[in-house]
Amino acid sequence: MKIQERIKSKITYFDGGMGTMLQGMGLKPGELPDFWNLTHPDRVLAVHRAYLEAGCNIVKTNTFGACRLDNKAVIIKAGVSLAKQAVSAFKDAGIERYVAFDVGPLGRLLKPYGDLDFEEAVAIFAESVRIAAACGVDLILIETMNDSYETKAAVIAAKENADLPVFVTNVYDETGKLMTGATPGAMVALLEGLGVDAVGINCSLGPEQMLGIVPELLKHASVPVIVNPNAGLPKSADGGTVYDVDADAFSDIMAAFVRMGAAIVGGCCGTTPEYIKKTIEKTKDLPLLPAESKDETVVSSYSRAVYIGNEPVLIGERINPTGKPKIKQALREGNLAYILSEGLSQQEKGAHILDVNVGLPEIDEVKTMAEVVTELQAVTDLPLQIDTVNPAAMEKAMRLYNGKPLVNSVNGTDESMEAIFPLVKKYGGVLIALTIDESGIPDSAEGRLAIAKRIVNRAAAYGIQKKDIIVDPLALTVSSDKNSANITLKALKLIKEKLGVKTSLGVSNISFGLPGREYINSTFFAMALQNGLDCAIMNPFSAEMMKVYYSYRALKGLDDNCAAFIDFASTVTVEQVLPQSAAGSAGAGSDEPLQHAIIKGLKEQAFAKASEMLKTTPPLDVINQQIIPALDIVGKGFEQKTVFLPQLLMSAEAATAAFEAVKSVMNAAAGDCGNKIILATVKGDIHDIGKNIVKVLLQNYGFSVIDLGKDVPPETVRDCARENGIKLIGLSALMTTTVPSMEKTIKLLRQTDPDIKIMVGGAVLTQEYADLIGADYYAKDAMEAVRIAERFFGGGK
Amino acid sequence: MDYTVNTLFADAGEIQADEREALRYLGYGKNLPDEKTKELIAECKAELEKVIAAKCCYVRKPVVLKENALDIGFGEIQSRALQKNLAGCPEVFIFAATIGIGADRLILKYEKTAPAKAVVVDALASSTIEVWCDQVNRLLCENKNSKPRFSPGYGDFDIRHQKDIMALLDTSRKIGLSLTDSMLMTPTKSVTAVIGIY
Repeated sequence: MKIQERIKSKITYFDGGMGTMLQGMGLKPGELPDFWNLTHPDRVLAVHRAYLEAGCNIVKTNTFGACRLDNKAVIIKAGVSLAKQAVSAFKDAGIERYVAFDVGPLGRLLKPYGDLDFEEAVAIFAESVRIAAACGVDLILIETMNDSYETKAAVIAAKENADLPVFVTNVYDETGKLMTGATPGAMVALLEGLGVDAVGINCSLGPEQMLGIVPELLKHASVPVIVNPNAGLPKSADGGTVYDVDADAFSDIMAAFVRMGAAIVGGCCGTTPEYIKKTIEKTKDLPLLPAESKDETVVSSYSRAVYIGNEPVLIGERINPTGKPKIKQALREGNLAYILSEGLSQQEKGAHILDVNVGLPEIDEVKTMAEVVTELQAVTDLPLQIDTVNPAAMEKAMRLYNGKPLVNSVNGTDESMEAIFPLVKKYGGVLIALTIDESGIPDSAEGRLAIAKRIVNRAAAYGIQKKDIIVDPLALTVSSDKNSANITLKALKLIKEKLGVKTSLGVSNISFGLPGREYINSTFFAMALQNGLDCAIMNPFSAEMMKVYYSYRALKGLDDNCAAFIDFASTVTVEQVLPQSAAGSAGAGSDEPLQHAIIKGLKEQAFAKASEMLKTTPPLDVINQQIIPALDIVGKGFEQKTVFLPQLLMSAEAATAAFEAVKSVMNAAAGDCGNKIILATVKGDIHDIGKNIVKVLLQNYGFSVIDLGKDVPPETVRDCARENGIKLIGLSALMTTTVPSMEKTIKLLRQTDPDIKIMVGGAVLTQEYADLIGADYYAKDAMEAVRIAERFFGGGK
Repeated sequence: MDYTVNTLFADAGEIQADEREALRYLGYGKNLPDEKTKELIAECKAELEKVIAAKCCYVRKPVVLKENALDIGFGEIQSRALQKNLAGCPEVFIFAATIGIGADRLILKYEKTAPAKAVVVDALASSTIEVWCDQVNRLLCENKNSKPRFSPGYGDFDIRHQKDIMALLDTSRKIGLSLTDSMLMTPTKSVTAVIGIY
């Protein structure tokens, strides 16, 4: 019987711990068990045999740590061969046996928190999977993963490089989450999206600690669930290590897991053949509770799952250049900070999901979409909606996304369905399906239903379930057709009833071309919710829309004690009062209110005062007579140690806000006239904070900064310098271990571009050290970097 | 004798940043922050507290003195400074501690969007890992005589021994602590150290 069929019809047993068994045979702590495939094959074989004798069905190859090794090929080949040898000796015992290629984590954290690139991780796993698949294994077990992103890399590698079943088990800590934050529900969403055959939990703590987590997995999973716990916690006894849950207690809890619905059980660290044997004895006569298909429409981020359908879901629409000049400008300038802030503000306002659209004709959408998704998922824990008509940009973003995304969108044309369905099948995702096809948008509810039906049926042929499709029956402006809202609402209701799918609308389209759009939008939003709308793509900054949202939840019985509504109502009142009090306090301020605001680090005031001044004062005067002098006062204070780093930066942020105001009245080219400086944190170093401080200040002083980020190879610095005709470069390194990398960068530049000057800084650097590695300037802090740049370019701007 | 690798976790809210230390990292010396900065620090502290997941794993090992080297469970170490630190200690605790990836996430988020908050969270997080190490130190050395903790990178104790300690303690599996190619610990607010006991 194939393993995929077996796990759906009978309880299936994994073996237990390998490392701890080998330690009992002389493996030293800290020594990799995988090497024993070569040095002590007899002992590895003996462990496999003991587990097979105990009655397990699946033997894990002794390759947990092999993926990260240079000589992985020989170790994996030997490991697979030992497991197969052990299994073939037991073929006639009447028990089905399988060999699982065991894939453990790489022991390095992925970017941006570590230095391992996502695609590099995929490549490392891919190589191992190809080797194992060529040796002939029955399945791939990806186990002990404590990071959702690394798990995704491993699954993609397994799927792309072998035609084998893939099982995945993660490590959940005492808070019931992965080390990097994912809940069981979020992991199930991600993994089922990627098409794995079984999901579960292993290692972690003892079996009792899993009692809270396994039910969560079972509640959400539509595939069989695996439970492979440790034998409790380790302790010392008689000069060796034992675990504090014995085989009797262990197998009792394992039987409880099987009664809950776990289909595949076994052990991890500290478990022995005895544990597996007793577990089998206590569970072999229990019925298997087959995994039921859960009708959940769910998307996820690195940490949370968002379920669609139980109550209204708000999708923030602001990251989209259409009609938003500031986003347009930010995308053109590669100013991701603005886009990230826009995302975070929408989250603060209550968005549950963020739409990401970067479509501008003059930018490389594939690259920009990948960048924005990567950066955004590092700063927000909201799931993202990837919104593009470019299938290449869609694919790259779906691949790099750390979770199960919303995909916006597919429509009823063959071209769209053929491009998008395979991506959703491969990477997982919930699809927004627009009721439009080759002949346009039908002007009847029935016509839109027909398209929705066609999309759902075609998706099924690709193996995409109805629960992963959200139909958008399209809101069209009432200004051109007085019946358009009626048709949309009718279609909404009809599609929901007849097809049983979830629904979505781009709500604000309804008022296009009208004044007072918020009034129409919010009323339409309320009507749509009443007609069964599940998600709204909307502007969370719109108070009118949020009023409807909170009121609707309270009225629908979705808000216990109206708590959320009361909270919301209180913030609305505060916001109305605030502007007056702010104006009052500013009136009592200094003669130079803008300078005052910058010195005090008051962002909003700085923007407001600058905007006010700009009505009567030329922009350059605002910069030279207000912003720069204020920054100088703060900068001098910093140098004299009367002002400290947090204040310096708050002032810098306030100055940035004032510059924003200035920029909006000046022509765009004016912002680009500053002298250019490259900043980079050197290869190997992922501490970016010092460099970022320098960047903020340099920008404040009118320099144009090209920020290459962190972990930057020497060649990248040189190439960028050449491309842009750069004369001054700032390099940052925080650790003694990465200073050599700084030296390398300097050497490379000296060899090929000797007229470029280099300033260096970072926690471990000193003037002597800077001289030693051949830097031109040493900046002891961020202000010093500004002074160096000013001297270098002869007075700044 | 207990030579097993054990783990310790702090409860939520148990480990808090040391504001005075954080101010020192921020360059305040004996100066006090102004009102606006105080508010900023309080805000950052509250946010940081929510994401701290303090974990530690440790093992107790005998000290074996060899010619010009010593062995505390992961091969020979050549370090006069460590040898001096451990003089008279038959045993050591070797530990790895972290406050988790949440702090790194918060710092990264503010680096991109609010630099002042980024430096404050960074300083607070740096003080928090020290507070956690002090706590671990106290718990381990209760009722024992102990030496000040000593980390790879101090004096001539080669920073590369970080890798040995992490392999010995299996930190990646036990507390999610790993190393980059250039020997930086990730999550970054983490410490490995040796404490001599006698």
